[in-house]
Formats: sequence, C-alpha cells, structure tokens
Amino acid sequence: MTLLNGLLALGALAFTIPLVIHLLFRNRFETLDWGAMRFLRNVVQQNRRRMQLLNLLLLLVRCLIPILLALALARPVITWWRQTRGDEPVALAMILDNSYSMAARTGEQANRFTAALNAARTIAGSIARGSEITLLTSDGQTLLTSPAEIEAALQRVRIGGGPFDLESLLGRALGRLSDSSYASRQIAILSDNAAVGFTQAMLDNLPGLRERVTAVTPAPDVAWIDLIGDGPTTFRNLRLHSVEPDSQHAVPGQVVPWRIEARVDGPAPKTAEIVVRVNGAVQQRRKEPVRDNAVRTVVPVTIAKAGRHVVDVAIASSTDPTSGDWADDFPPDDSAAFPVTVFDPIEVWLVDGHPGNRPLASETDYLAIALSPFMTSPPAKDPLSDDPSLANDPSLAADETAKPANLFRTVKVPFGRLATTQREGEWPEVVVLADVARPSVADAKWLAEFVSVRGGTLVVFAGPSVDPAWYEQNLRGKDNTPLLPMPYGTVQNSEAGLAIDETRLTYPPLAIFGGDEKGALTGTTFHGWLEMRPRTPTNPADAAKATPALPPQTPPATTTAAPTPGATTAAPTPGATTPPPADPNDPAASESETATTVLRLEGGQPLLAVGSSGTGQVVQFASTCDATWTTLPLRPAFVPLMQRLLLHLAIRSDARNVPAAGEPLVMRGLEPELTWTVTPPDGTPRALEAKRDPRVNAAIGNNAGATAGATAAQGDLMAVPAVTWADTSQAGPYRFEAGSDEIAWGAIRVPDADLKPGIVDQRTRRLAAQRLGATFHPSLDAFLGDDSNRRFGRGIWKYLLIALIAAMVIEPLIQQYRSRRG
Amino acid sequence: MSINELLSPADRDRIAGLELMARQVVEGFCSGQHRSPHKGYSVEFKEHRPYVRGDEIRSIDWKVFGKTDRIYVREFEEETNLKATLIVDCSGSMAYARTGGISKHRYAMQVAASLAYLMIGQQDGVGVATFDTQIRDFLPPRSRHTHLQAICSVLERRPPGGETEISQVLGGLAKKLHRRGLLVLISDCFADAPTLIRALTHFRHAKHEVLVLQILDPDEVEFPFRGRIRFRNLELADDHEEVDAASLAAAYRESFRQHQQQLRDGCGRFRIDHVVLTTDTPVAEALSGYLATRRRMA
Repeated sequence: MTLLNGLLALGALAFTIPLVIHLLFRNRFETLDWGAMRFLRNVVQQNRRRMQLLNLLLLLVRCLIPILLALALARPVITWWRQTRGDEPVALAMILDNSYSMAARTGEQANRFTAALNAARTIAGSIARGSEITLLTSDGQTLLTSPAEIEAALQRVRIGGGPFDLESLLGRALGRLSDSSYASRQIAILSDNAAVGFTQAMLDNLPGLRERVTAVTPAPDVAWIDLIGDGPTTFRNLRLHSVEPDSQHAVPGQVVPWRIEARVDGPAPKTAEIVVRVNGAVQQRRKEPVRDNAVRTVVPVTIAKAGRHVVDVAIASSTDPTSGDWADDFPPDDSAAFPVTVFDPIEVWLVDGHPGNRPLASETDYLAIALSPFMTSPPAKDPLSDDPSLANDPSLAADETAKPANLFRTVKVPFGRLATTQREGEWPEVVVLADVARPSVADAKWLAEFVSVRGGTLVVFAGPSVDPAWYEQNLRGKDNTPLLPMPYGTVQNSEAGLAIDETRLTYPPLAIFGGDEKGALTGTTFHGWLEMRPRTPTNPADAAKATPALPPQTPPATTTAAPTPGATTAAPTPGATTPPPADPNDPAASESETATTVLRLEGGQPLLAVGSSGTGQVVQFASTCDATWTTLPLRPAFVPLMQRLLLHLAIRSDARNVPAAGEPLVMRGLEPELTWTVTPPDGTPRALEAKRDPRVNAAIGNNAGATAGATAAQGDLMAVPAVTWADTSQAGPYRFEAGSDEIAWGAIRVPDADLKPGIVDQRTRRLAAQRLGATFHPSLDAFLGDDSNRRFGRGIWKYLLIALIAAMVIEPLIQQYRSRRG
Repeated sequence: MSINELLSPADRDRIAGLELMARQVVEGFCSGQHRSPHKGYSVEFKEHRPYVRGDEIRSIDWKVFGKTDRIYVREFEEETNLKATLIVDCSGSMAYARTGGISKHRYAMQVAASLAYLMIGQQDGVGVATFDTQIRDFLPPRSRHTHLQAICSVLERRPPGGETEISQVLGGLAKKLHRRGLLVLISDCFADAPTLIRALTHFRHAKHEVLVLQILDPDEVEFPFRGRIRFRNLELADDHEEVDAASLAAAYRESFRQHQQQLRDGCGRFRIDHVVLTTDTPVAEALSGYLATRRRMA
C-alpha cells in the first residue's frame, strides 16, 4: 500500500487527543454520599462489563475518526490487485466500431460514434506515454498510433464501412498484439452493441474467439466497454422506405419518374423535404406533408448526357417552423444513391432469315416492335395509372414531360451483308440472327470478330430453316471454338405445346418474371424447337469448348420429327443420342463453363442458353422469334423479356445491384488503362491504384450466389473491362473521372444490417463478454476505474471516507444508546 | 434533664414547629377513640349471645331471660388507651438529603414528633425507639404531656450513622413490647425486603398493628444523576462505586421498583400499612393525606 499524500497521514496521530481526554477524565468523578447503595451495587454488578465494552467501543470510535480522516486525506492506494506497473507502456488495441449504426444519436453526446471517439481519447490519455496503440475500425482501417498522436488518428476515422464484425476485428487485433514487444497487452472494444450483430452464431463463436485470445502469449486482457447502455427510450427516425424509378436505364433527355416513399418511426414532423440530386447537383427539391407517418411522392428526373450517373435522394424534416423542433435520431437512412445508366439507344442489327414486305410477315418484325415499342406507338403511359391508390393523390402527380423512350435502335441488315453494312469503327452492340439457314462465310468471319474480339452480343433464334450442322461447323470464334453455347440438334415438336418452366428464373434480366411479374410467361406455349444439348468432353467436336455436363431431360410428350402439321409421333432421328435423364433439380445439369441454360421448357428442355466467346456474349434460343413455333412473341411479356435480356447483355450491368459500404465498387465498362481519379462522398479526390483485381472480381462472382444466373453474371464480369474501387467505406455517390471527357458515377449503399440501430439487451451483452472471456464494464468510468486498479492498485480513500462518515454517525449513536440504557 | 437544657433555642423552635405541624394534623384526626378487642365491662353494649358453660353468671341478661325464657349473655366493647411505639431508623442511609432539601432522618424525626404529639393529644401512650444495627434508644409509651419532650430529645440526640439491621432490631424490640399496640416503623427500608417483611410479621403475630412509613428522597426514586459520579456509602466508610450514572439509571430504577413491589406485596399480604413519604412533601400534608385515607378505610 502506498500513500499519495503521505504527510497527511501524520494527522492520524490526532487519535491521541480523544485517548488522552479519555485517560484524563477516567479518574475524575463527582463524589456523592449515597444511601441506596443496595440498588446501585446490584446494577453496577450487572452493567459494569457492558458499560466497559461500550466505553471502550466509544473510545475506539473516537480514536478512529481522526485516523480515518487522516488516511482518507493521505489517499492510500492498495497495490495488492496491481497486475502491471502503472507507468509501464502497454500495447493497446482499440476496436472502434464505426459502422453506420454508430450514427444514431444518444442522449448525452451527438451520436454513438462521438461517444466512442471520446472514450478512445480518454483511454489513450490514461495509459503510459510510450504505449503503442493500434486503432482497428470496422471499415477495415488499422492505424498505428500512440497516446500523443491519438487525436490525429481519430481524425482519420469516420462513420462508414460494413457492419461491425467482432471476429474479424479481434483477429486483426490479436495479429497486431502478437507482434508487439510489450508484455502488457490489452484489447478495448468500443461498440454500440447493435442488436443486429448479436446473432446466435456470433454468440456461439465467442468461445472459439476466447481460445484464440488465450492462445496469444502473453494473453491480452479484453475489455468490453458498454458505451451506450440500453440507449434512449424514445426514437424518432425519418427514413427512406423505397425509391423506385420507372426505368433503371434511360436515354439522354428522357424524363423518368421516380417514386419515393419515406416513413417515420415514432413522433412525426408535419412536413418533410425531399431533395433529388443528379451527380451531386440538386435537380428537385420538394416539401411534402407527412401523412400517417409516411411521405409519398413522384419526382421526375432527367439526365441529359449518356453515361453512368448517380441519382441521390435525401429526405429531412422540413425547416418549416410548423414542424417544430424535430430532430432525426438516425441520419444514415435519410439518403440513398442509385446508379443510373443513360446511354444512346443501343444499336441492334436484325438479320432476317425470311424477310417480307407484309406487316409481321418477316422473321424479325415481332422483335423489332418489342425493342422499339414507341417508334410506332406514341408514348401515352401515365406512370401513375398502374396504382389506383396513388392516382388520386395530387401530391403524386408526375411531371407532364415524363415520357418513355426507345432504348434500342433496330436496323434490319440483309442476309450476307453484315460486313459491308458495318462502317469503319462503328460496330453495333447486338446482332440478331433470326432463323437464318446458313450465314455466309463472310458473315461468319465478321461475326467471329464481332463477338470474340469486339465484345459484341450475338443472339441466335432457331427456326425451321436453321442448318444445325453448318452452324456448328462454320460459326466459330477466333479460337476456332463454336460460337453457339450448345449445338443445335433435331427439330422437336409438340402438338399440345409446352409451357415455360417458371420455377427457376434466377438469371438477372429474367428474375423479374419470377418476382414482381410472376405469371407473365404463363400461357406461353411452344409447339416446335430445336434440340439443344450441352457440350460434353466425350464428343471430340466439343472437347475444345465443352465441360462435363448432363444432357437435358427429354420431355415425354415431344417427338424428334419435322414439325409437320398434324404429326403426333415420329421416330427418333438416326444417330441421335438418347442421354440418360438428368436431375432437373441439379443446377449442375444446366451449366458448363461457357454455356448456361437460363430458360427451360417444361420437362427440362433448354429454351435459352447464354455463353461467351472471347470478350463477347452469345445468346441462343431454341425456338423462333416469330409466331411460327411459339406464342411468345404474341404475349405482352415478350417486350420486357427481350428488352431486359438485350439490355443486360449489351451494357452488362445491373443497376439495382448497389454494393454495400465495405464492398468493392466494380465499374464495368470503364477502361482500366486510363488514369482514373475517384471522388468519394466526402469530396476528397484520390487516384485509382488497383485497376483490375482478380480477387475482387472473384468475390463479386461469389456474392452473386451459386445460381445459373449468377454464373452467367460472373462470366459477363470476367469478359468486360472494369475498374474496381475498394475503399468504399462511405455510402453515397462516387465519381470516376479520367480526363475531362470520361466521367462515370457509381453508388454505395448503407449495409442493410446497419440500418437497424437497436441495441441488444444488457444480459446478452454481458453474456457475450463472458463467453469471450472479456471483462464487462458498464460504463467508461467503470473501465477507467478498473484499469487504474489493474495498473496502479486500488484507491481506497472513498472507502475510508465512507468509514469516517459511518464512525461519525456511530459515535453519537453509541452515546445515545448508552444514555438510553442508563 | 429538661428540654430547655437539652435543646438550644433553635432546637426548641424546631420542636415547637413539629408540634405545630402535628396539631394541624390532629384537628382532622381527633374523632377516634381506640377500641379494645377484649369484651368486658364497659359502657358501650356490643351484642347478646347464647350462654355457654363457663360464662359468669353475672353476665346473664335476666331481662331477656324473663322475656324469652332463654339464657343470653350481654357483651360490651372494651375501651382502652392506645400504646404506640415509634421505631425510627437512624442508620447512615437516612442522612441523605438532596441539594436544597432536608435529610430523610430529619423528615423522619418530624414525622415521629408529629405522630407523638398527635397521640399524646389523644391521651394515648407513645414510646420511641431509635436503631441502626441495634436499638440505640428506647422510651416506653407514656401519655403524659411532658413525655413529648423526652421523645424529641431522644430523636434529636441520635444522629444518623452506621449500617442497618432492621430484622435483628425488630426481633429485639418484640421482646420489649408485651402489650399489643401500634408499631410505627419510620425508615427508608433499604433492607432485604423479604427479611424485613418476615420481621414485621412477628409483630403481626403478636396482634400488634404495624404501620410502615417509608421515608424516601426523590433522588432515590428518580435517580436523576448524569456523568461520572463516585457514590460514597453513607452507612459504610471507604465503600464507594464509581459509575457513569446515566448509563445505569434505568437499571437502578428497575431494581428499586422491584424492591418497592416486594415491600408492597409483603405488607399487603400481612395487613401492614405501607406508606411511602418523600422528603419533598411537607410532613403535615403527607400525614393528613394518609390519615384521611386510613379513616375512610376504617
């Protein structure tokens, strides 16, 4: 035990004062001649021992008072609990949660993140000067600093990044501490303990983490500091609920209505202000009333130039005085950025196998209408007409200039003139072969360069005229592999017709038919088609292209015969193989490395396959694009089906797939050889260093999921030039700039998990700390006290002061007790 | 030795004061003549009773025999003078006096003188005995007026001091009192209560009427002391107790209460009047109150 103010301890000698007084007055008595000694003597006999004890106790208490006072002033510190030397430098790893949930406001400080920063400063100020501090943030930063430079390090940390991943952060912290030369090591966890992170799996993993901590020699002390507690009891949050443009893609000057809905949790303001920015510039600013804790509006957005842009939507409580003093407790969900691709109409060349002059007589007429629906039918669609509940709401009236536009420009190219039609340096994005029997050799060479070298998209529709053998033999890429993902086989027909298998629509452009537009393909029938078989390595002709795969299941109601009207049965084509039936539930049955079946008929017969060749894409249909073999072109779903499919293949992006903060932002279509400068939402331009990172691309592919569509997307990604920006801790628009002409915008969203700022209950927090083997500190002050005890020993002056007060209370109580007994 | 020689003028004034106080008491007390339990020839008829063998022939009421033809004997109340003995405690404990008050011994002398004056005024005989561990002075009962001065002289002559042995003293006194009468014990009764009661029962068995006048100082009842006090024994030299008075006041009062309770119970059991007189109450007032009660109870 040491005394911080040792001299004051001499004051304890004051205990002699009551002792001397006691001794001096012990023999001082007033003498009284007394007759009733009989009763007095009996009483004295009975009470003498008790009175002696009381007197002794009183004397002790009186002596104790000056002793306790002196000791309390001397600030004694008991060092029995001390584990380290107080002034010894330590290696401290501070795990700082800077996920978006930390932006939630708290009662005492601006927000949870501010509380965490203040705690980090305080902790850094409490350790020895030479200590080593490693600041690990949930957005992946690892900052080495010291107590003297902690402020500079904290200035570099902002709210952002992905969700708080304790396991990853602890692993990084242990890695840092393992390399430290200091024997005293400590890990401090500064987090808001958002409930979304406390899954059962996370709790189950904590004992394993504990073992990893104890495996480090010497093992660090882990401190779980409860910064926020249970959080505020009331929570007011204005949040964007949904932002839906009528179209993810647009052409320059097209007015696209954006439907915006915001909701309010808790007490609501009277009005809210919605601000829509395009590439950072304000385009629309509206004040809308809050009704039933919700705000709904439609805002027209126009982008003049082609390219990749960002529409940023933000909502805030209006500054209108009628709204009163209303503050949003959780700002991160107040805004969101959405990438929008605006491009010049995509040029599609239609090569017609059966050209004709009559309407809808030629092979590609249906397709031309589907790709350019507004060329012949002027735009008259009211964007609100689909939703009668919103149609009567005057606040939702869209701009009158909102008109749909054709995203495609179709050009019919005569058979055999592909090469001559193409002008120098101007290539179409998509070429469609519709029931072309045998393309010319010149066309085949042109198509090989178009697909394999120029990265174009070839769409092949089957038909009665198609010569499968010619396609297989002559239509090959630059590496002499077949361009078609699957070889065409014999003609199949079904009198009753087969429907489309709508159960596995996972390919991104077709996913809408399994979701919002579910049922749109129902009723479509196919009476004839060409058999399509995945390539197998056993076939020498396919060995160069194919990978092992199972052939499709042969539908029982089909026959292998020419589509003769009225024919019901036919003998199998000589030489045609009859593969064993594949398991339709096995995804591998429909995939190979270069071919993916994305649409099937009932029974598993491939209807639509997607493959790649070089940098290009090939889409292969088993049926026609007119009404010869199928009713699909007659169905309303044909227009969105073809538009979405070709749009996806042509621009090879899915605008809805906005990466979350912390995930890499892959900007496909940007030329990686250029020198790009990236401006994150914080406005600080930075040079793009890693232009192509295979690992990142692989990660994107994995994130897309192990589905047929996802694999196709992966194939797309690998084929398209792209730049990747990994530092995406900030949600919002990202500007990519290469010179003055090349400008593109990307967007990062707040992770869904961080949009739930609720805090897990204290019992779970304590349980987590217990499982981790960490010491749980209910507040920062508690941690500082415990840490001080650990390093310096325990200061006991408070306890002495309490004892002093107790003694001062006990002394008159004893006196009163003695008098009462007397 | 005349009273004038025995007492100084101040003493005589004091005795005169005692007489004066006793006279005031007597004026409310003089109605009584003392009746004897012996039935004999007197002026006051008591009752007739049937004749039994052994009765004197002269006691037969022949008039009743003539009227009823039955033999009855007439009985009369015997009237006699009261022989009272005042037994005054002169032990050391009787010397206690609170600040500004009179001592218990002085109070006891005033009580004794008052009773003596009263009884002599009724033509009753009054004697006195003083004692501590033994009988120090004894005057047999006389009813002459000059006997009052002798009593006062005896009381005045014996200052308080020494220990108390009441039971032994009362035993010795019983041998001296052959004729039944009234015994008045004037003492603080700071003796063992059962022993004291047992000694008093000897007089009750000898048909004496016993009256215990317990003289107490208010301090002895209330024990109002605080602080560190050395209580020095008035009865025994070099005997003292050094105590924190406040700390044992309650216990003292409880012990004293138990003693008084024992006295009250013992006296009640043997039809002994037990009267507590505190020195802060004037003697005349205290005696008149008691005597009034006694007359109502008679």
